This record gives sequence, structure tokens and C-alpha cells, in this order.
Amino acid sequence: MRTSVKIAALLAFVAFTAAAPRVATFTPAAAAVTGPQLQSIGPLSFGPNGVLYAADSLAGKIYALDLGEKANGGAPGTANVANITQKIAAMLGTDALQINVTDLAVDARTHNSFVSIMRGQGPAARPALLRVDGAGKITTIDTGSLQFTSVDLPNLPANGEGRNQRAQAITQVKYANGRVWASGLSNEEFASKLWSVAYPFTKADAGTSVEIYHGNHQQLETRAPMYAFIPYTIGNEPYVIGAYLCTPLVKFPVSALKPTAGKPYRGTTIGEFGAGSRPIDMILYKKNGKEFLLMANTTRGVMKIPTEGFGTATPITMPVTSETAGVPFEKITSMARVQQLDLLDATHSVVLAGSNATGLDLQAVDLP
Amino acid sequence: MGQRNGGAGTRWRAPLLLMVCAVVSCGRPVSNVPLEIALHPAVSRAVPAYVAVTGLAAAELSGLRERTATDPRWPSLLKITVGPGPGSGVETPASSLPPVEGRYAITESAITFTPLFPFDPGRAYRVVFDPSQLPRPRQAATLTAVVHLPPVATEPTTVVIAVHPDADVVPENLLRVYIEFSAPMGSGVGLDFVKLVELVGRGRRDTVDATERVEPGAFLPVEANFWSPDHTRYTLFFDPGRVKDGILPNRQSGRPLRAGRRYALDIASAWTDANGLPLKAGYRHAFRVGPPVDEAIAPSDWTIARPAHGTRDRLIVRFPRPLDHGIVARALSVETADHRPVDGEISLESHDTAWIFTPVAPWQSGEYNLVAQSFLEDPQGNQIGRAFEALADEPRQTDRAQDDSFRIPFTIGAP
Repeated sequence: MRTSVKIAALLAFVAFTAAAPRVATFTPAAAAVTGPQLQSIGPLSFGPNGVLYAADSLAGKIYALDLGEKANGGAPGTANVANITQKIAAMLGTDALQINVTDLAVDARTHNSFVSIMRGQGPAARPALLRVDGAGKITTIDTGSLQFTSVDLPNLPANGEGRNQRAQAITQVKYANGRVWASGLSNEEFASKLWSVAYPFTKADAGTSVEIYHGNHQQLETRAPMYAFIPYTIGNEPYVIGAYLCTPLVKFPVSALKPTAGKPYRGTTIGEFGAGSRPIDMILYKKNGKEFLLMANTTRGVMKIPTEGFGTATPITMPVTSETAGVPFEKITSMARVQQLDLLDATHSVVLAGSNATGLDLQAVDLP
Repeated sequence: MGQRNGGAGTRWRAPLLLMVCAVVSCGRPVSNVPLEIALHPAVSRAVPAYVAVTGLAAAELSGLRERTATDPRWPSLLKITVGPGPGSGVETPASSLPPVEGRYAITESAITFTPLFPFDPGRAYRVVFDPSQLPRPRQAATLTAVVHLPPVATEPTTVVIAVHPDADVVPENLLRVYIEFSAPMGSGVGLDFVKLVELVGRGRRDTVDATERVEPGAFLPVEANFWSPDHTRYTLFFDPGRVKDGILPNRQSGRPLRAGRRYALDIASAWTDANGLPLKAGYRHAFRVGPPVDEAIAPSDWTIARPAHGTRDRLIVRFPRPLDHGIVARALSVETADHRPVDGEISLESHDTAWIFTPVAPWQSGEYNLVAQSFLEDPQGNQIGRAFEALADEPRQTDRAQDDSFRIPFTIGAP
């Protein structure tokens, strides 16, 4: 027995000296810093040729990301993914309560869906971008390795300046007719700004910001922020159709959206959809030869609005006492608890539906 | 068998075994050191916490070096998942969830896994190492460990320290309120944690003997990030559709606040801070409501108490009604007559009706300007020369300087 113990001890010693780790300092590989260093991400919007416009509210920037092969690597389409927030959370090493989805956008070339999220809580939250393909496979996109250009939003005070507690939330980004458009909200002043810049971004063009007023009733005008918008053409003239926080749908001809000293631009209210809700996303589509605007709202569900009356709608200038007013719409009750919405293809939308408490499902839904 | 091999014969066999083992240890794929899983805490920002599996032979490790950091074969060998169970925040069985994404590496003596996002403090992670998935499979049992970093904090300490405007009476068209916290908060939005309560009875302020009625739909239904960059201040907007005179929500439901009534903002302790812990206590901010304030800000109504030459005395600017607590701090400044900024400390007093400027250097005699930026607002959204709700096409009533700001000259007298 004594001998066995000795041998075992010797064996252990030999094995230890031969295979034990030296006092090593592990330095796991860190990703090289070459691409954009996003501080936050979302909202998103695709432009032509697969360029993904991504707002970084914390940094006050809009990025144009070239997804390259990341845009083409998956199975075409978007498959349904139940409780996608829980799956994303697991992939990113956390639970679903730490995942805050900021937007959903579809690449019109591959019909893959891209989901932007913030992982974590408070000042430590970090951005991530994920792709869902036609097989339901979720892939994290290493944004730090992408080719990109970016532009700074104007008039943003630098962070960390003394007592400055101001923050900006970019609420929507869209591309139309060679320009990128963005709307935003501040946690301080209650201004309504719509900002646009030519793309490709150049250093010479810092963009144009216009103060747009919600032409109110009784000849009043107020500065309610535009929350969601969509570029739209009436006749041959480009317009912006905006949805305000206090629910009006308003149209602006792009030709009038120019900064004019001391005189803000006033839009034409063409619809009022009721109180206690905010617009989330708007998409345009055609069905049976007619065009529709589909608008998701926080508490008033999804609304289907024929666009044929947008050009000729009577402006709302008198106080409204009914539940709603202006252009007609139809509530789509089958689309419930929609948190994010985009156009998937000619016959489908894709939505993130559910709640933060129970998780969000990614679903392709027939266009109504 | 052991007995038969024992005894005298062992004496010459032992050195031989030793030699064999020494050779084997260097060349055989299997190490005799037990496999171990360990979670190494972060060394720095550049080297965050990582999982390491040790006890593998050099040959086993070298067989893995050809794999890239994100090779899809890695998770079948070494898989890290969140939870399940206490401390993970996840009850779903680990087998039904995708593994944590990250980068794998081979060091001199270990396989390491560094997650794409740093491991959360206090969260339980399940680590499974399956030796049968090595390039030369080892016939050994799967090794499982549950690891976690220590939690940052376990006891609630964060509290509400102030609500602005903090005056006893606020106008009924109040548009926004700031809630200040003692430490960084999480990303939760105020809609879920703040209630507007009308105090119907005759009870004194801050007491609970009044009858209470929750006013539904009082706040802007937006979950946008209204946190300050450091997450110590949250901006709560009243629903502008209800505050604004004459439009549909206002006509349907009226203003959330009505003049002559008493209210409280009740802030729930369930609102979590940046460490995921609730507030130490809930908070009640009670106030009365007065008539609306719907006129533009008029700098001509301000008074400037000028300090003496050669001192660092405070310059005090008084407003006839409160200005916005957040905006006024960055919208007012002092410059010399030739537009050079004057450095100094800024504070607010008297419920945001006094702006105090203490210069870094003593005042010199001469001309100065108090500069007000055009984005200055009161808590009702009124600006200089323009009310929140203005008549259409009504121009600003104050001349605007070319750089979009307003200047109020003042003089520091000679001694």
C-alpha cells in the first residue's frame, strides 16, 4: 500500500510538472477597432443597395452601414421566431428584461430582418444588431467590422459639459430621393425638428433642420414633436407624411421644408386618430391596385389608411369633438400588440409583437 | 490484482512507470490533471471576465488551435448558457436556449471563452465541457459547472432626491417634470412607475388622510429614452395632446391638472436602478395647481442684481415665474461686451425663479451681456417672445440676434 501511494504521488507530480499551466496571463483576443464604435443603435432604415441607416442617439450621429456579405449570408426571407427577445438575450448572455428592442428593418434585397437592441440597463447599456434569416437563424452582426460613413446631427451640445443633462432620442430615420431624414425628441425642450442631409454624406453638408409646427385648431400652432414619418409622393411632388405625438397625421411638401429665420413651417393636418397613443411605424403598400398606409400605434392598434385622399383631404382647422376626424381609416384588430413594423415583401409585413414582460415574437403577417 | 502486483516486484517497476508517465504526459493526448472550469474576473476593460477550461494536454490544445475564435464547432465542446435557476433571471431550461456568443481561444494551458458582452455581475451561467467532442475524443464524463461573478450590490440604496418644478403651486398647463435620483437608474420608463394622484380631501400636504383619485392617461405615452446621459434624471412629460388647448385629446379628456385642485406624483419603489435593484423607498411629491401660464417669456421682466467691481460676488437674475429647471442651466450665460464668455459657476434658487452666477475671476468694471439662448423655455414650453401655443403666423415679439440668442446688457460700475 505504501508503495502504491508513493507511485500515485510521483505520478501526480510528473503529470503536474508536464501539463500544469505555467503561471500564464491569458489575454483572450480582442476585436480590432476598425469600424464604427456605436454608443447606441436604432432606429434603423434601409436605403438603396443594402445600405443600413442606423441612428446613434447617444452619440448624436446617423451611420450608413455597408453590411457587405453580412446582408447576403443567410437564407432569403424572414422566418417566424417565437419569443425572439428571450433567444437574443440568451445569445448575449443575459435575460430578456435586459433587452430593449429599438427597431426592426427589412433588407428589401434578401428580405432578411434586422433587429437593433440595447443590452443592459442604464448608462452601461450597449448596442447590438442582429439578423434573422429565412430559416429563423439569428446572427449577431459585428458592427465594429463594417465599412461605414456617418454624419453628426447639428446643434447637439457635447456630452459631459458641466451640468448639461440634455439627451436626444432620434425617433425615426428614412431615406428618400437622395436624402436621409430624421426626427427626434429631446428630454428637455419640446421642439419639433425634422432634419435632412444629402447621402452620400459629405463634410460640407451638415444637413438642414427645420422647425415644423403642428397647425392646430382655432388658428393656434404648437411645437408637438413629430414622432414617426414617411416620405411620400403626391402627384409628382415629394411630401413628408408625419405622425405627431398628440395623434394628428400631417403632410408637408418637401419643397417648403426649408429653414426660414424666425418663421417655422406649419404642416397641414389631414387626420386625427384619438388620444393616449403614439405612432410607432408607418409602411406603404399596394393591394388590389390601391395604395395604403399602415400605421402601428402604442395603444390604438394598427390602422390601415387609404392614401388616395392625401392630396385632396380637407385640412382640419376646426375643433374636433368626435372620436377621430379627417382621412378615413380601418382598425386592423388581427394585428395586436405590435411594437415594431416593417414591410417584408409585396404581400407581407413583419412585426415584433408582444410585451416586454412576456417577450416579443417576430412574425410575418399578411398585409391587410 | 493489486495484491499480486505489490510486494518486492514494485521496487523496480516504480522508476519505469515514472519514466513512462513522464513520456506519456508530454506526448499522450490525455493529461492526468483533472479538468477544471473556472470563471476569471475582469482584469481591465480590455480583458473582461472569461471562462477557462484547464487540465487539457498540450496535444489536445494544439489540435484546437486551427479553429477560429468563432468556429461553429466550439459550442459542442464548450458551451456557456444563461441559467437556468436562481441568480440567472432565466427559468427556461438551458437546453432550449442558444448558447452565449463569444470568442474562443487556446492559450498555453487552457481553452478560454470571452463573451461578446461582459458577463452580468451576479448572474448564474452554466458551463458544459464535453471531452468527447475534442478532436481526439476523450472518454470522460461531461464536466458541468455553474459560475457567476459577485453581484455589484444586493441592498437597495437609490432614492428620489428631488422633483422639479418644486414650487408649492404649478400652472395647470405644466408640460414636464424632472425626477432626480441619488444614483444611476436602469432603463425603465416613468410611465410604468409614476402615477398622478388627485388629492380630493382636505388633508394637509404630504399626509395620506386625503381621499385619492388616480388620474389616468396623464403622461405622454412614449417609452423613448428620456433619461439624462448619466441616468440620474428622468423627464416626465404630461400628454401634450391633453395639455394643449383645443385639440382632440384636450377636448375629450381635459387637462391632466386642473387649477384649484391638489395632486401628488407617486413614484413607485419598484423602479429599478442601474444595478437592477428597486428604490430604497417610494416617493410622493405633492403640490397645488394654479391658473395656466400661457404667455411668452419676457426678458424685460427680469431683474439683475449686479455685484460690485473687484469682487467675486454673485450675479443674481430673478424671473417673475419659474423657468425650466433643466434648460435654464445651459441656456443662460454671461459674456463681455465684445462677446467673450465669462467663466463661472451656475446655480438655481427660489424654485427656479433665480439664476445665480458666481464668476471664477473677480468682476472687472465694464459692459456685459446676459445671454439667453432661443431654446430657453419655462416648464410649460413657452419661449422668449413666443408662447407654446401661439397664433398662427405670429412672429416672435422679441428681436432675434443673428446667432439665435437674446442679449440683456448690464454694467459693472467702476469703484
